[in-house]
Amino acid sequence: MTPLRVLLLALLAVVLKALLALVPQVGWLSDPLLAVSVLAALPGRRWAAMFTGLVLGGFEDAMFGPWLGLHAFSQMTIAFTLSIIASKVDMLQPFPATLAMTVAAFADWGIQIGLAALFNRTADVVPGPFLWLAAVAANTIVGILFYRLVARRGSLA
Amino acid sequence: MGERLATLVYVLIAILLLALMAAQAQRIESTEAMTTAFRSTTGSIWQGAVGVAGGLRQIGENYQLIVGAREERQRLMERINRLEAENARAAELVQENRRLREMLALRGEPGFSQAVVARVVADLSSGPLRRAVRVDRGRRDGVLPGWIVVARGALAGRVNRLDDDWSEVLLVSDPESGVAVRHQLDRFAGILRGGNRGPSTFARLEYVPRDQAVAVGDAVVTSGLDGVYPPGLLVGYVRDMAGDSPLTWRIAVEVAVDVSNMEEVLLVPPTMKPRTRPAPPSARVQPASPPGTVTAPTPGTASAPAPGAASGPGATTAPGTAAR
Repeated sequence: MTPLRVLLLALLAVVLKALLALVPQVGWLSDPLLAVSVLAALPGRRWAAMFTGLVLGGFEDAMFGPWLGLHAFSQMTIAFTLSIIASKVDMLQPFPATLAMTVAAFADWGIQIGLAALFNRTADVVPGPFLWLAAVAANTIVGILFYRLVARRGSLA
Repeated sequence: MGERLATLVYVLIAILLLALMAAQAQRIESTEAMTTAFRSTTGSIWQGAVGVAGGLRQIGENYQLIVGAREERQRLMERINRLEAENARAAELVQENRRLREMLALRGEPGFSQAVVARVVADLSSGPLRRAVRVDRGRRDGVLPGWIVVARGALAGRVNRLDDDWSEVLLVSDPESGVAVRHQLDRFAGILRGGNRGPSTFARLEYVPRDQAVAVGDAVVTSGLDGVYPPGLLVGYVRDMAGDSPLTWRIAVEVAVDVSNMEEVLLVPPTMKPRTRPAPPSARVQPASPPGTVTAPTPGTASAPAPGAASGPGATTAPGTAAR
């Protein structure tokens, strides 16, 4: 994906996030910006994946994070790791992409919880297992939607 | 090389981020200021996104309003249709009530006390040779062949045949019909026959001497000379005249009552006392009468039939010899 497409997707994700914030109770579970970071990682380009995760995670930190660096670290790590995997395995197909979305959603919350524990901070994302699974499901769905949007236009690679 | 560099950069950034988080965990003042500045910088982006989301939400709400308004409109339209139908039915009942009141008033008059009120149930008119209707009263109600039929205060025809529960009414405009009539103003008499040369509501008055002053719109009433129909009943209005011969007119008379404006009728025995039921008075030119505007005749303004008058239609007066 070109940087411009990533930027457009990120703007779309921000608007979607703002829209989801209007949905009570469940709107906060999904994280469209994470989906964009994952999409940026799927072609296997490490630089792009790393900076996309850093920027979008940093933006999330600024807006929603309990402190700076939390989402940035999490998303950058996830995107960078996925890009390494994607450089060896074709992650652009629907099933690997969906799997990547699910794993990323699971890992995102895991990393955040781990960091909160590391720094003795009470993160605002300490969930029960069901809530965690719900968040994983929600983020996977959002990720699939974004994936289909990008893949249909043939601009994923 | 690039991959290694990327990995190195990633590790450096990750360490920086961890350090940043650690500093924030220690509540170092400079990191707090940095956090505030960073949030201020990116806040406008989020505000824009919130604005866009709010706009989209407004659009969604407006759409819901439009959909709701459409459904409400649908409900209101259905209600309007239902009310209009009820209103039309009520208006129809008012009209029917008025007609029945006219019937009742007519039944109260002398000679109409034995009259039977009937409802037209079928139009039996077919082709050029038949103008008739069926009504829902028959022998069981005391009706007999030859009874005359009155609708809206005007002559409609007479009972031609009947069964226990129905009667067939031969209309004045039927080609086989013949009624002894009289010009209401000039009092000359003639035989009105149904016809098939013009509209179905037309009958013809033949062999009227040309020295008679006849004008379009003049009323034609029964003369009673045939001994069948009571005198003075409105039959129709002159609508056209043509030379029948150098000495006589053939006059087209539009009958006052036809299938199109018959709903309830009175079946009256033909043996009732001679009476007069003149048409609306006096104006030489009578405008065309729409259904429901025929005025009920009032009795007592025409003379009784002459003694020894002929006893049947067609035998009343010879053509061309209509008495003045």
